[in-house]
Amino acid sequence: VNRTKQYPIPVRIYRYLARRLLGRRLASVYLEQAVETFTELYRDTGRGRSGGRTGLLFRELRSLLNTAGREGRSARRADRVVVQQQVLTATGDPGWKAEGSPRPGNGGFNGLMADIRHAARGLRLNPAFSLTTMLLLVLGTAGTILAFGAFVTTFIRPAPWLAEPDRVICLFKVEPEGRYLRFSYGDYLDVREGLDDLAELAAVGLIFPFVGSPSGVAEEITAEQVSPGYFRILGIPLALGRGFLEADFASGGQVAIISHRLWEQEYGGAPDVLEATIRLDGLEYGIVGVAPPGLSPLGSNLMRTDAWIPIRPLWRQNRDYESLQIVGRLRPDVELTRVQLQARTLAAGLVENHPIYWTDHRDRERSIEVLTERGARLPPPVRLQVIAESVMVAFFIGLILIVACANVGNLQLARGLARDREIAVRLALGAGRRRLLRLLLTESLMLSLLAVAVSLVLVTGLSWMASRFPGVVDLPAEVRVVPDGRVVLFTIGLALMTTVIAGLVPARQIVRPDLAATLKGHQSGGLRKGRRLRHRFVIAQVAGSLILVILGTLSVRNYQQLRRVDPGLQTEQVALLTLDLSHAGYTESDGRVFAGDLESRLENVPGIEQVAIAFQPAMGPLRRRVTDVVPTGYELPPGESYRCPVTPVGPGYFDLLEIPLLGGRDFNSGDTPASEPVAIINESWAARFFPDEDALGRTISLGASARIVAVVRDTRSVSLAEPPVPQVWVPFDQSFAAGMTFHIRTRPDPRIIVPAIRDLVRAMDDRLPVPEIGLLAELAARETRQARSILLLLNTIALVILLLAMTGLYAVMIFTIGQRRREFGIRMSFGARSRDLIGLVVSEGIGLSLKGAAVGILVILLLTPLLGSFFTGVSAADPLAIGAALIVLLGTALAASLPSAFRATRIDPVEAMRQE
Amino acid sequence: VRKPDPRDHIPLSPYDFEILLTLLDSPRHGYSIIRKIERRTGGEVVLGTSTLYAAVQRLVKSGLLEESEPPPEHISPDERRRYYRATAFGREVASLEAARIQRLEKRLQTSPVRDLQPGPGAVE
Repeated sequence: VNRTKQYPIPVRIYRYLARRLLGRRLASVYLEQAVETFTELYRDTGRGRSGGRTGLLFRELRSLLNTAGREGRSARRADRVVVQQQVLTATGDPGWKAEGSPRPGNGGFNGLMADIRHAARGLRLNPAFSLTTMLLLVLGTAGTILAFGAFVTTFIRPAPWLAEPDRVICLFKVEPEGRYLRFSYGDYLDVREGLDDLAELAAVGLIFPFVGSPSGVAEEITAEQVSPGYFRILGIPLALGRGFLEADFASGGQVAIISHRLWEQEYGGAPDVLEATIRLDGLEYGIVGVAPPGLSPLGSNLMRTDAWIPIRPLWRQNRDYESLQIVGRLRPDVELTRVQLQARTLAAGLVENHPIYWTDHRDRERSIEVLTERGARLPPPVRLQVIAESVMVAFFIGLILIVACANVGNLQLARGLARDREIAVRLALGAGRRRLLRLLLTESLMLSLLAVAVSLVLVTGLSWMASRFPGVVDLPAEVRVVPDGRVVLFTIGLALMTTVIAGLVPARQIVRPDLAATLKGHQSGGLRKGRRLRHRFVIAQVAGSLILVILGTLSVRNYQQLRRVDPGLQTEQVALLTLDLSHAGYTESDGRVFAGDLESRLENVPGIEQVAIAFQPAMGPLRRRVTDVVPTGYELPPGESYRCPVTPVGPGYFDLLEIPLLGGRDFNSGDTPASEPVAIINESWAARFFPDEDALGRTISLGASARIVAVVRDTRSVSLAEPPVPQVWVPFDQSFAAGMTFHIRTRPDPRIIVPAIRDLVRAMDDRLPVPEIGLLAELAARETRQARSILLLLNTIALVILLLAMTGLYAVMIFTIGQRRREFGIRMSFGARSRDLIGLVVSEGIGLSLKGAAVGILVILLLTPLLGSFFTGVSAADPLAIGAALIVLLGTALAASLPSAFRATRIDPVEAMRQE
Repeated sequence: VRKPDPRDHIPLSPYDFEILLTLLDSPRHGYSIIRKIERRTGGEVVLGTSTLYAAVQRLVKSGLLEESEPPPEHISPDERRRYYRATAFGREVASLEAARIQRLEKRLQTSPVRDLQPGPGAVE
């Protein structure tokens, strides 16, 4: 009977509102009558009388609202009275009415303490729940605290050893397109002179010397070479001894300041350390001072640095070594802007005097940028990128936390099911719903606080261990956390947030059971209503898990890919000896003789198999400036350039590095200044200019024309992460340079040969500055070290997330079984077999997982463009990664629902039915 | 279970009392109750529908009202109308309440409150 259709609209509205507002009890009996009465009143309220109907509608609405409020309250009160009477009849306590409502400790401090005691008891009585929840929350919050701590230390907190950090400035050489470069020592002297009236300046550069005994077991450490006055200007208080003096530099700079850590661990923390020496790269340095604890490079607060030495002579003498940072302190009453202004004027002058170093390859002028120390940690060229990356990292870590909270929320709901009888009895005995909510929240809050406290201790403890025992705990310096007010406040905020997400939402569901039904043994109505919420929890959590598992898979793929990256040359077993003859009084012809002599003597050292000379190491950033290199007669379109490094190398270079020749011949001893200029190109260069022809025999414009004698395979020698760049090589003899690097292939570990090489060089000419001796493999590893640590971190996260997903799904499935006991009982009594029940449970688990997975995949697809910057070479929308994550997730869903499914088959149908 | 005591319901809420009074003589349905009260109080008390049924529910539950057959003169084709009338217990409560109000009136006669001007009456 579709009679409703005939009612006037106000009646239909009234009917709707009344059904919603009047409460189940009232509406179930009186709704039809009320609607009928309202209809009569409405029909009959005079159309003539103005405002009659409006007045009626307002009156009825007010009445509805009043009744709704009273009805809800009184219905609950009535329930309570009924149950109270039942309980009291059962317990036979006659005195209750005289004492009034039994609600002790309702508020105030006593109430709070009672809540806390009660919550603690609840948590103790249910250790499985408490431990699981704690574990989940610790996993989520520890990551968040790590991230926040890293953020604070990296970008906000000034170094503890820095006096007046606000007056400390950092200078950068800036390219026209905004790239930030470093300075040479010559630049430093010029800038210091030009800005002397405004600021005191010092220069500093990172080096990685080998420390240890000459017997061969050398360990690479991080050290800094600094100019005189570095410690004084920055106001760094030395723990012992003195800073560097001008005299130290004049005498050759064989003095060092060591870290507090090294002092304690290697020198026993005794003051007589000032009479000892430290061996760096095989050379003795007299120790003149001990740094304060934790002294690290300016701007990277937690990087461990173990030694400071005066800037090495090679760096001081050569303007090509542009690897120093200029730092300093504003003189009193000088504003930063004045320095910035004067620095710009100064740069213009430097462009005049040293155009080679102060213009780029297209004659555009470089300038000087002055930033505060804090500003320098996020210099403009990388600022946006760093912020974007921080946001991404925060998003991922937030995702972990949300997944963890959703898990906990589900656990709470599941536990609520187990407790609904307890809760109903509490409500019946007079506990207010608000009060019960408070009790549940106290429990959640206690768990959260406990969890974040554990996380904080865990994280800071790990950080402390990592800085104290670097061999035992390996935590990258960037993510170490030093607790301070900010971190603690953040942690407390975190606890509150997790309480709200993981505690409040389910608690609101839990305290709303249908009293009478629950007490009689039915499932709680409130929890049944919470079904949708619970499903949302699961879906959010599965989606989050899936995203993180995909990211984990991606990171594994990326890591494998990076490890697989073939630099195109053999980096193992190669030592690098770097010399600069320009400051030891050599003429070019003397230098050629010396270099040839050294090469042949090196070849005779036992353990050395092959030696090849080159202008610079085969890997790493190019020290020589890149220029346009094109075939002879080729006109580049105006405004276009074809930058390409040209590296002088000696015979045997490609053979030593195992770079295959694709055609032609290697350089040989016949390629001399007197013979025809020749060049070797790589595939990329050949592909650009001679895509379809043979490049061999063509000429190339390098000032003079050079004939191409060979094409070699591309290498990733500049950067592993980037595709090969076009490169050109010329014979070392035809382009002799005073700076040179001997590539030395050894049979044993090259480290063992290092002292012999050093002795050989000193024996040949002790006027030469201390030679740099490094390892090609180290250069290659340095390239990928940072990327590798990030990937390892992501892998760990992925594993953690998988665990979270598993526990979450498991909790949900257990919950589901609990809720559907009766249904299963009925099914079994009607002949359902175990197989059917298992199928039923598992399909629910898988179905929920699939819903979440759909959401997760959608998010991943939306994020794809952002993720590109994280995973080079792998797309975030990688079908393999998504497929693998799906399989893993569904496998997990299966694993998590099977135990519950078996549990379902063990339900005793009679028992299950009787409980209703 | 002890016998219900009419004194437990004293004082009655004003609306409950009005409803009870209306249902003393003959059974009525909802619309009729509202109109009757409105007429008798000269428009001072106009019950909202939901207020009425909330009260009816309460009064039925505590045994002051009961549902009844429609009176013969009110036989209506509309079967959805339900009629209510006061029970004997309800009459008892009503008379007790009336007596209480009479005593109250008497006390008010000698109270300074009678000098106060009646303000604009707040009805629902």
